[in-house]
Amino acid sequence: MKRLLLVAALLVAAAGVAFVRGCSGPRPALVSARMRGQIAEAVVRNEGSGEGEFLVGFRARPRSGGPALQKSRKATLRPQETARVEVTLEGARGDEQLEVELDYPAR
Amino acid sequence: MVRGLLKRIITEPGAENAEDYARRVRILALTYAVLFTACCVGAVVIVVEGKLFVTLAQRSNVETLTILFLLVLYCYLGAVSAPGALGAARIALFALRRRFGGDVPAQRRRQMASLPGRGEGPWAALGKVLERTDGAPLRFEIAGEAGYLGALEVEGARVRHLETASGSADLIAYFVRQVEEVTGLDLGLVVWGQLDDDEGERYLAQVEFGRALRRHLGSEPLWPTLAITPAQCDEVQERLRRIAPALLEEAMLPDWEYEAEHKLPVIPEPLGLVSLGRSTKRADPVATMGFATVMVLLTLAVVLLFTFRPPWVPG
Repeated sequence: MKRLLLVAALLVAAAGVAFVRGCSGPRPALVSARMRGQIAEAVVRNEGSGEGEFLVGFRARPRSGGPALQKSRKATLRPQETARVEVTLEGARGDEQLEVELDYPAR
Repeated sequence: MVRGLLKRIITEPGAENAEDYARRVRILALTYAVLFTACCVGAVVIVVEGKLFVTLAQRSNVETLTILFLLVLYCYLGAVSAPGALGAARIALFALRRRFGGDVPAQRRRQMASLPGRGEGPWAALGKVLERTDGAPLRFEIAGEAGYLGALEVEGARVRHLETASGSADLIAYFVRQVEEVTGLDLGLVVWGQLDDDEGERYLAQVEFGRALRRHLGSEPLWPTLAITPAQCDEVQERLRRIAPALLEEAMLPDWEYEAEHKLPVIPEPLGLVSLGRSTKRADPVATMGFATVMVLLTLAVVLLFTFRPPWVPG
């Protein structure tokens, strides 16, 4: 009986580890973000071993005040991959303060 | 073998001996503390990470209501275990006082004084009439260094825990097991008063009829009867005295008595053609709360895993 329970517990643990290894999503982390003219650019690194689609939200705040320009874009990361994600913000001057939000799963 | 295992784990986990009883109380206190903490953590994580779980549910074709169900489960079990967690904290506090404050009997008396007022505890019906060979009433007073903890009174087949501030049905199970060990004969518990008092009263009325008929006829016992000698009574009394410290601690914990039913759907709903089931008249709080704790910890593990390592979802 004890052996059976032990084997069952080991199987459950192995299944759990396999699930985490095989079915994890990405863990996107922001490396850097900057404005290049009208283009907002974010470099994102996947710190996890999974892959999947995530959402990058850009928000450019004019330093002189006024409404922020915003745009979001979906991107996909593979395990341990680093990617550059760009969007064009129409009407941006290039000196805005850029904020980037990463969302996984993409909402 | 399965019946014995079920009895040891589910129905009467602390009835074997005094050490088992004390261990059961410690496990119960720990269970309440872990359950309450896990429920609080689970509820907070679900509330704080609500958006993540709703997104995961909708992307993975899991019913979003499952999240609400989990939240309600955590809140319900948290509320049920809160008095037990408080009791566990008080038990730990008094244990620390005993260890570092010295004068153990005085600390135990203080612990006793902190208990609520006394009243009538649980009762149960025995499988046989229990009586003394010398005809004296059967009453076992339980007292330790803390003082008087109540009495077990047997009348016919009815056994009651009286004048107690606690109220554990497992004490009755312990008593019955000790009587069986001391006499070497089966006694058994057939109805638990807290769970089915109507059935218990009906059974006890039949027992009383048998006893009245015996008195009327002046015959040998008509109802199955176990006679216990005064020396055996003293031995049972001594065994009850040994669990007095554990009883004092148990009095700080709530006593949730439930029946238990286990169902295994071989062909699940909506067809539901075959399902296996097994029910137990009484499940000790160690079993019910322990099982609830295991379930909460398992779901909490998944919730935390998904929080810190979100699973892959289709884009």
